[in-house]
Amino acid sequence: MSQLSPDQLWTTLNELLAGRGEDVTEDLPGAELVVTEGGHEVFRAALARHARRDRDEPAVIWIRPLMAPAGFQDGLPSFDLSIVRRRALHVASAQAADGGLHLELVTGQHARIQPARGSQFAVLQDFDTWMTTLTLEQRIEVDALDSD
Amino acid sequence: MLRGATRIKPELDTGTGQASWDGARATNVLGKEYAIDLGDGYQAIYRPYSVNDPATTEYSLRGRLEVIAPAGEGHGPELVARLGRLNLANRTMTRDEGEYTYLTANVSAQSLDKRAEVVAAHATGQHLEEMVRQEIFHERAHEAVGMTGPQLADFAKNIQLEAHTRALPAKVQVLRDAVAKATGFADGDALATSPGYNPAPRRSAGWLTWTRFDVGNSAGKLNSALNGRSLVHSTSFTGLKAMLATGVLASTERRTTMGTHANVGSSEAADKLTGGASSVFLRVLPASSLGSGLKLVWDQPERLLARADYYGANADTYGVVNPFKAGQYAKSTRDPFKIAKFANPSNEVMFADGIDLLGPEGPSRILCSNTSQRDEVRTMLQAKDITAIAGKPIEEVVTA
Repeated sequence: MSQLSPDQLWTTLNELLAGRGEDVTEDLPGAELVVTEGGHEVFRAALARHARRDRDEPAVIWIRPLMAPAGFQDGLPSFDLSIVRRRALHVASAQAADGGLHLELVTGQHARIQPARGSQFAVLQDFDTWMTTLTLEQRIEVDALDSD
Repeated sequence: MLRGATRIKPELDTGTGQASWDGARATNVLGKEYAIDLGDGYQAIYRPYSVNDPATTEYSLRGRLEVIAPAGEGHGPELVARLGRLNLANRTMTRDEGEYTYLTANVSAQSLDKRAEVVAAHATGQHLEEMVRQEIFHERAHEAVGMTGPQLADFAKNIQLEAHTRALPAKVQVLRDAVAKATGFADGDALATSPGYNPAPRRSAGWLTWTRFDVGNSAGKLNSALNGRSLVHSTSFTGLKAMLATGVLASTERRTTMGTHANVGSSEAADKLTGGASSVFLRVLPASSLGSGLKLVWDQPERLLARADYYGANADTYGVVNPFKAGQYAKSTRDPFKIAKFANPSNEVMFADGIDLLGPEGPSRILCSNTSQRDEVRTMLQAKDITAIAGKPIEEVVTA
């Protein structure tokens, strides 16, 4: 496993978020984030299909883990952005391995970004559906990843 | 009656900022609660720590008590009176009670809870109350003769309340002395006369907050440590308008009771399980480079850091604030001087419940993305007869 440059990390991350290289079935593949600390898993959630590099700190990437399943309004999935809020990956070092990304974070935690599976994958499909129900203006707001 | 936990489902009139509730409750909540009938349409709902395992239930609901009055106005005093049926003090908070709560808030804020002096003071306090209880019981034991079961229960409750009230001044003194010694003061009197010591609670939105005396006593130093830095909450225009309708930057849990929370997303939300839903999130940023986008900015962060209910971490940490989950908690700090040095753009400072945007804790600046947003926000505030925020005219606060 070789170290990735910030640009290589950015490219690979976007490929994973878009589900590139995965078998396309009826549902579009995507990515999930798994964080471990001292060998214990402390966090697992699908990732919305947007990311942004911080304007001032190149080692920080903003993402949106979908840490709560959708609620349903009028039969359509719905999300509260204050719950599925933006989060930051502050990367100390990055490697590509096993079809995903292995990241050491500045907090000492270890993060893996890999193809989403199971319930995480299902939440991502609901989020994709929810995004299509938003106005263009709302979608731009969600995609921008600049509000908490 | 023990049942599955619930939440109220209020609605908000976005025009007036007035929340209303028709009695409907959401049931998709992870946890257990007791529903207690207080008579005449009054009801209490409590989610005890003991029956709600923090690993599997909603952390932000644990220990929360809800008291419900019949529909209509003017039930406040009667509602407070009925707290006595839950063995809770049902009279106006006295100075001693306020001070005890203030000291307790400072013990957690300054991480003094494991200090030997404080541990000993809590044990002594319990012992004192027990002694007073015995005393009152011996004084009144003869009154119990011939009482029926319910009368005896009331009799016992009254003794408990009386003991609590009578023992409190002594308990306050013991705890104050202990906290004083743990923080380098000669004794409780020396602490009480230090300029930062202020046991009076501050009213903030719909709740009370307490201040930290260590921050009050080192105001000058903290101000220099924070020089050039601001506390910032980035938001969307939709988010900002919703906040200004109620005047509160409120946590998910608070917004649920105010009716502004969309109530979407199952309650299995990890955020609720980890306690994040009880807080609002701000970041420490250099005042000179806030970037673009809508922001609430506090240029004197010490105004908020004087509160006793925040913690922060210098980078986004995944997993948790719930100490029963993983080791994450150790990475966070309640020390305002450490928070002042936060330099990572992903740092977070979490304040409990929320921030009253229109009171003395209001922001120094509301930065809008363009002039049309700015004008809309100013018009919204003017419609509410608000001409200044935290002493600053809104024309200077709301800018683009």
